[in-house]
Amino acid sequence: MNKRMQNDNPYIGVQKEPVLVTSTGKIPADLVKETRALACKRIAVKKVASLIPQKFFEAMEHNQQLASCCRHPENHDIEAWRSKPDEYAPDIYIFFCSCGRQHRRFCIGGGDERPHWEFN
Amino acid sequence: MATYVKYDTAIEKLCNKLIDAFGTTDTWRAVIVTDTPAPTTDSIIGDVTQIAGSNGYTTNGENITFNSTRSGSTITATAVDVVWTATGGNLGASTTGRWVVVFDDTAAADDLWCHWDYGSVFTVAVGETFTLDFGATFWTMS
Repeated sequence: MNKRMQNDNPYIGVQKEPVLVTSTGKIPADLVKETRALACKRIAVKKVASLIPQKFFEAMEHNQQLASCCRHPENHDIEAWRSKPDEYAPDIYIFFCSCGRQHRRFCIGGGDERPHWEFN
Repeated sequence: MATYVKYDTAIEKLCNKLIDAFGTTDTWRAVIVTDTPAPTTDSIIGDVTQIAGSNGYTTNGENITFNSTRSGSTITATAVDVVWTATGGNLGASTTGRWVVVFDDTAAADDLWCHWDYGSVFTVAVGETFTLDFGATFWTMS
């Protein structure tokens, strides 16, 4: 097949990704582009404990539905994200317990501290 | 903080006395949603798709203990943090939650107020938590 024939073939060329739309005209979440961006690398909570608001810890310490290891966030790792790259500060914090479970905090209000850290 | 997006119809409903946004009269709730909010056309809770009501998530979400007070000509709204804990399976049997929506549950039609985008889908597996942190201030209006 020569080049001209290739170009004439409607089945060869750029094919757009199909986007599934629900009956309400909306796009399912798993097809929407991610905007979340890593703000602060995963680190042991112990190394940044003084930066973390006490209520972050208390929400886990006082949650009787959690495994005992998860109720000790001082033993976790923590990672911070921005829900979109131009957020002025992290608004998502993920605690990683040694058991593998994750505990997410999504900061949607105003007026609170948003800790961040930089370590090699 | 994550970007606060108010539904276009919310302000109309406020002026029409369908939404009570002062004090603690109305019960406001937060839900987790799995498809793109449409702030120009969505109007009531039935217009959004929530994760399933299972494994620690109740359909129509959780009470955020809404309150608002006035100082001078400014109304400041507050809410209490919400914690969802997954039990028996993924929260809401879902792997595709992404947006958080707040609505007025006391309003007759369960009118929508606002939403935030987490920026990616998230899964809350068994024994994990997802916390909404409303900070010191939910919103202000003057």
